[in-house]
Amino acid sequence: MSQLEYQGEAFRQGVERLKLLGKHADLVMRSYYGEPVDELAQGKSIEKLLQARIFSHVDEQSGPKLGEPARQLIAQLIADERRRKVNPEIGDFLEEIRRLANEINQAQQQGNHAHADYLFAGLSQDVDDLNSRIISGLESLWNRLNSDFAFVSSLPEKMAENEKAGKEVERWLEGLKMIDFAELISLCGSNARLRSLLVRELQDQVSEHFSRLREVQQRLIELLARFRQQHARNRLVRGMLEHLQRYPNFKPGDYAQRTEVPLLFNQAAALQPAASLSLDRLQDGDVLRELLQALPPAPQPRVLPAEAAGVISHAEHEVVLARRRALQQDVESFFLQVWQQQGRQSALDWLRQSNLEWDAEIWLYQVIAAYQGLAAADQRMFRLDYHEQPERPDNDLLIVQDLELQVRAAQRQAI
Amino acid sequence: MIQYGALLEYLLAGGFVCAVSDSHNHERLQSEAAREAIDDYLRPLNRRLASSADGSVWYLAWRELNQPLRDSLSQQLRITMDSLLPMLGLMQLVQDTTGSDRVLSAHDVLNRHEIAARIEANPSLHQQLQQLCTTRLFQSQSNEVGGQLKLVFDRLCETGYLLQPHKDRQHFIVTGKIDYLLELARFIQEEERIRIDEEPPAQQEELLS
Repeated sequence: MSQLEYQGEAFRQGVERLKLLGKHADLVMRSYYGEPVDELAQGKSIEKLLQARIFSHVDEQSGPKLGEPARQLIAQLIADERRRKVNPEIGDFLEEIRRLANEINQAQQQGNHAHADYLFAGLSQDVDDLNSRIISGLESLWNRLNSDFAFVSSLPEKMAENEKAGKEVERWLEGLKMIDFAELISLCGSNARLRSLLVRELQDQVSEHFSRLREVQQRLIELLARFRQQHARNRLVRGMLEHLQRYPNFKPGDYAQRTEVPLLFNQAAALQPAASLSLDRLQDGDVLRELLQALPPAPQPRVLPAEAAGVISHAEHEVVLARRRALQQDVESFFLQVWQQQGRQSALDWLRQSNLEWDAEIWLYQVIAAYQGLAAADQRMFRLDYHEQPERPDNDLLIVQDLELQVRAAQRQAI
Repeated sequence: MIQYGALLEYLLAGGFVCAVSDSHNHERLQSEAAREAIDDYLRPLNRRLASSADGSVWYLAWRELNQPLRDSLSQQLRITMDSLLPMLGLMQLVQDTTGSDRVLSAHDVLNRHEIAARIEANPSLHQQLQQLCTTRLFQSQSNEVGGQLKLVFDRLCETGYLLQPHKDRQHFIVTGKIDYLLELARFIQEEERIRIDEEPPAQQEELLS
């Protein structure tokens, strides 16, 4: 700059206006933080600030406000403090490396290499500290995430904890964004050692922190969505339960009669798939014939005299009838199996093998009754042998111990 | 179509397919082409695939509705409504018993013996269970917790809400059908404008602090 310019009008004006700023620093800072300026109360001073275009009228309604250029200047001047507010760890870290980098460069210029080495060790310690602080922060976040915030019990508390963790992640992310590598590059100047630490290494580490933090952030958001959904379900179950208990006769609308039936209520009735023989498949003919032959002959329709049916008293409970029917069915299965195996079988053995719960005496009685009840043609197909023993040595009353059912030999040959 | 044979049979019998009940087929149902093929097959039976809103459960719906079918759906809705109270009551009971912070959802594993033991140790839970056993859905003659709970679990298996992977072990897995039921409850709550109060004591604490 030439001598002339120091004396020039621009120089004089600059000094004057900076003095003006200094004189009204309090007013300027208040306006910077959004406090309205009372034009009348400030009188002359605000007039001068307006003339110097430090303040301006943005619109007719509101009073004068601090202009944009002054705002930017202040933002730059108080950047460190702002950073510290966003993230004290990274704010302090940045200030510290700025100071150390300057001192290292200075020591190097003065040829004081030992001091420069000493300072450099401190600087790299600072970088390590920041990294380990971020990594342990990440670890703590993952621990909380992986345990689904189990250290608090209720869902609303979990959601609050999740939001707290989310803010922590945001604070780190905002903090890392404050690291301005362009600034660090200029700070390092031509010092290769500094550049390698502050630019190359730090940049790698920071970008890794970024991606890990974003991953945590993503997981936190997913978990919060799940918590919210679970919370909504809890409320739904509790709320609907209370409603149904309070109004036992509650009936919703008949959604099935609406023009558009909601899909939830349109549930098709069950259809039991039925199978039938496909008689047109000639290749299956042999198998079918074999199956048909193995079937027991269809029972002859029998006409029972009316009195044989017995009278069912009204007292007879349906349960009793159902049990009787079940017993008959089990005995029928016994007969069918003997027929299918074309062999002989003890009635009591079969009872045990089939894990049926019938009393042995009732079972034997029913087998005899069923045999006697067979139509004459069917009865000829089976033989029922009685295994009997006298009740006591001195009593000739014969007790049926077991029965053996077998298919008559003549019938076996016929097949 | 033969590759979908078992799936079709299950669906036609009124089954619900979810990731728990049949993960293989549930996976296959994610494919649009598979669904189209199945729908084509079902067309002559007046049925089509339907799913819960989030696609976690698949079942069959009528393709076209006429009055008799609508009437049968109305009847079905009445049955569902009858079982809604006991089902929600059961979900609440299980949550209170296990101390979980959330209601039953698909994939949850329940141990019947453990639940029975906890209910036995707590008279108020036992009362809740007893109340459930007076409903038509869980009607039980038994007076002791084990018997009552066995019946409740049997009913839940029958109705497809629970799955017992090993018959001799007392572990049960909750199926996706529970999500379907909750979706249904949500629909009724919104449709009938039923007010659900905000319960949380936690929020009151927030106001105080």
